[in-house]
Amino acid sequence: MTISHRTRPRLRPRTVAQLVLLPTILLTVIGYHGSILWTIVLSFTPSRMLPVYRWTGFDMYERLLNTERWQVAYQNLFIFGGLYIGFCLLFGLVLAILLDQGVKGRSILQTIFLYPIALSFVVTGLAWKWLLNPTTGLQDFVRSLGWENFTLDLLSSPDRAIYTLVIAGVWHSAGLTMVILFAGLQSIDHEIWRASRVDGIPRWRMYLHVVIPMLWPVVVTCLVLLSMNVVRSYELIVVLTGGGPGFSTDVPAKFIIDHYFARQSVCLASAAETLRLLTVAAILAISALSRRGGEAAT
Amino acid sequence: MSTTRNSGVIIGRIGLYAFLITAAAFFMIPLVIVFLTSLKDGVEARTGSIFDLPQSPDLDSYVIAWTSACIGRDCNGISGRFWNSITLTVLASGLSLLFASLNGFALAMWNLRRANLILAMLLIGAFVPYQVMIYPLVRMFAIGGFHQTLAAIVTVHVLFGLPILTLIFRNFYVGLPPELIKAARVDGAGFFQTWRLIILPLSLNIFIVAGILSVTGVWNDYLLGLIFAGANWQPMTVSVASLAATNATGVPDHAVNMSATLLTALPPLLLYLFSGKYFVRGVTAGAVKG
Amino acid sequence: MTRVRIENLVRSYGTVQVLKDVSLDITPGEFLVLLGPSGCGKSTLLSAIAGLDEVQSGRIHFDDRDVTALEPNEREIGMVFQSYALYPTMTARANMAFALRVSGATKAQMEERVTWAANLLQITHLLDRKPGQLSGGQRQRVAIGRALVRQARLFLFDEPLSNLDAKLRNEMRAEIKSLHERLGATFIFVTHDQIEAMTLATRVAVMSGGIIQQIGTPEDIYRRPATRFVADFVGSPAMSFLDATLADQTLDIGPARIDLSAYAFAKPPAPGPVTFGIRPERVSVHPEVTLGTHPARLTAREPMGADTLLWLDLHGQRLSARVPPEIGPALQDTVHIGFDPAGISLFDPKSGLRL
Ligand SMILES: Nc1ncnc2c1ncn2[C@@H]1O[C@H](COP(=O)(O)OP(=O)(O)O)[C@@H](O)[C@H]1O
Ligand SMILES: [Mg+2]
Repeated sequence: MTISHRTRPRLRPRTVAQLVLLPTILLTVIGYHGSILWTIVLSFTPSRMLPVYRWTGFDMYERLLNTERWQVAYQNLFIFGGLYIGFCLLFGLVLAILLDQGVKGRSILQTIFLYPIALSFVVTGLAWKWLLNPTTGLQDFVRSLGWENFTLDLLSSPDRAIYTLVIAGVWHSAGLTMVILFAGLQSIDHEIWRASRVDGIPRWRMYLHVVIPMLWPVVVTCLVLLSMNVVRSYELIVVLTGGGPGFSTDVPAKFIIDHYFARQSVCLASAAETLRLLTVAAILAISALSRRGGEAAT
Repeated sequence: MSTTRNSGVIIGRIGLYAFLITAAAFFMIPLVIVFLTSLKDGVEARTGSIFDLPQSPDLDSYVIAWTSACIGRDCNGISGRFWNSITLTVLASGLSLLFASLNGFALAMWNLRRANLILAMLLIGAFVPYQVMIYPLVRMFAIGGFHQTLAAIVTVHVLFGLPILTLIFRNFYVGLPPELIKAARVDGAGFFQTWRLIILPLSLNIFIVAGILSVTGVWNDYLLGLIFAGANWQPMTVSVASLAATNATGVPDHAVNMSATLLTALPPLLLYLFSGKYFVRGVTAGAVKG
Repeated sequence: MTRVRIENLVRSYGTVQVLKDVSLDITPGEFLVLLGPSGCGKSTLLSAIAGLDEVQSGRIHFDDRDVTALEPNEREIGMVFQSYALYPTMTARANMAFALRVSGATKAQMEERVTWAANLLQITHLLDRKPGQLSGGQRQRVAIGRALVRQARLFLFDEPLSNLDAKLRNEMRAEIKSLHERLGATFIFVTHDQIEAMTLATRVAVMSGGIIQQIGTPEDIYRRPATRFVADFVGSPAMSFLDATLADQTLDIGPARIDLSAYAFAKPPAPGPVTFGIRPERVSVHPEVTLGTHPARLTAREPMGADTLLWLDLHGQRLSARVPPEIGPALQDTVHIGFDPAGISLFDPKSGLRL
């Protein structure tokens, strides 16, 4: 008895592997790379609702940079982004270090800190909007406790509405930062703690001078992750502030989507999108460099 | 000496727990007030403080939200949207995971010549803000004549999820011994046989991890649903956002809104509570190395 | 039984040539061992024979069939890997039956073949366990069983014993040898362990740097190494090499003159510098001057149990001698050594080829 081979000619498995990848390659080339290229092309045309292919040079960029709404939106990217990333990292790091002190109920606490990441930004926005609602929300609650003049009307103030975005954003993402940093802490060699006890170095000094520098690559990972959240952020703004009051809390993503659809100014949206992509590229380049820098330092 | 040190330690511990409990309160409060509000009735929610306990807690608001709340002019509640979201999630996540696993397998274990180039291409997809593809895709779908159909929204979700999911599977498969594939080739198994009979049974954990990432991603999406799903396949997130914005009577019923919000949040929340460490791995998998 | 003919095989990764024009003719039923240090291209060559790896140029024939372009499963081979590569989620039985299953064999056929192989390897009682529940040696047997089930006429082994401890390794070595005798199939066995090569092979092919340095019986390889590399790699303790000068029928190592009239030159010798190689057991050590010996200084003694290895200094060059253990302690610092003419190898110092 010998094993009979199928006579039907079969594709070689490696050929099949290549064929399997083909749809994905096509999809990404069309969906991502094609979209990026097309967007860049459109930013040099006067397209309104539908694409028009007439070269207008950098006119759209000039118009965009002179648009006040874009200036605010782009600025907000850095105000919101800086505060959101800063507080997520700070809060996440503090929580991670505290949880690393052998506390009781660690897994329950961790569950509580992390659950918002399971929720959408829509739900996050709705919950915080309700909480910050001036008539029945926190303001009303604090006033009912006796502080009659307490005002927490963040949402209707053009200067301060952006902080509601920061609070809700940090609430949503600090837990994730904590979990990633906590995993980083746990992966640090436990011998260094023994060594520090032998040398009589206080714990807080160990964290400051030894542990946190060792966490640098993990911090960069968090930075990249949070930056991507910032650059993409759309839903939270739409639900919580609607970009308002006025367009004081506008962000590039909302500016872009509004101009593509509601305002039918494809050219301006494309120019804005191109600038946003350049921003992403810059963030990635900086993070790659700083990661390398961190590696070189250790 | 030992007493002073002990009391210092005790004060430190108290401070530690005080901080942790405050933090826990910060994280819990929004969910708690949404829950409390959802148990009230409309009048009570509008007039009382959000921190008041409901006077006669009941699930009436949930029933209204589910069956008769108005979204725009459609007053059939969000139940239809719930099933839309379920269908979308099952189809989009199922297809994404299937393709991502096959892709990851092909990229990791077959020494393909351009594997690294393809990987780099996918990596761009994982980092580019996904909104960039919205307008071009709208145009393409409009030209193809299937804009705002089930096929359109599922395609978009698959396209959006594929890069990161493929990377997750690929990174897992790279860790498997390559000799497994060699043995299977000597035994005469083809690409799909090897994947189905040898690789798939080894991939359960990574399917859970990637599945969590995919399911929460699709379920929680708002913008893609808003633009690509059309009225027939509108997902729950979109309807709950517009439920809060529009209100048929003019007087917002916060109890119903919060019930709907909670119902929207419930599936990923349950997934989170029951999948434990897989969830953490899932949401951080996107972060690892990137 | 398959005759394997390999012609001018070339395989490179990028700019690095891993196989450089390898040719090999393996007779049916042979037990050929590919021996060489790690990284020399043995696995690459075996993969090429199996069809797991593409080659840039060259042909591979099984009997009269050109198999160069065939898939591994079309070559009717069985293969055992270093890591065993058992499918972790399948039982031993399913592992062994897998090839039959994907080729569409019936249940009865599978059962028959698996039972036969399991009996041969004495693993019948392990068939329902998964690889994780087996010890290293048992996994090894299942892996061999999986190769046997396909009824191949050519079996390939890639360092199959290197993950076993010393005792099991000896056991499995004997088992594989008896398997070869019972099956009568052609075996190609890759190893970096010369003991395995010497004990198992009908012929050994010594590889280095992507080139087959020598192919011959174990005795050939040991007695008449074709290159200095082979001489150095095979044999433990290793052969000693000394710089020498060749005159007509004699050889000078410093002032010591050695008679070469018994040496079989590969081609007529040209006077000049050569490398003189001698295995430790071919060096005799005497306390007193005797005919044809040369004075040398004893620098160290290494008792190895059955023998003692002596390290000697002959006019400034080091060499070793392997002597019975009782000789060692009696020796003074100055000894007199003689070379067994049949144990001498001479190499061209530039090309490393045997003279
Ligand atoms: N996929 C690969 N890419 C690049 N180089 C490889 C690859 N596989 C093997 N090599 C190189 O080929 C050489 C021979 O490898 P191999 O045949 O595995 O050696 P061995 O004799 O130890 O089995 C090694 O130097 C190795 O570095
Ligand atoms: Mg090898």
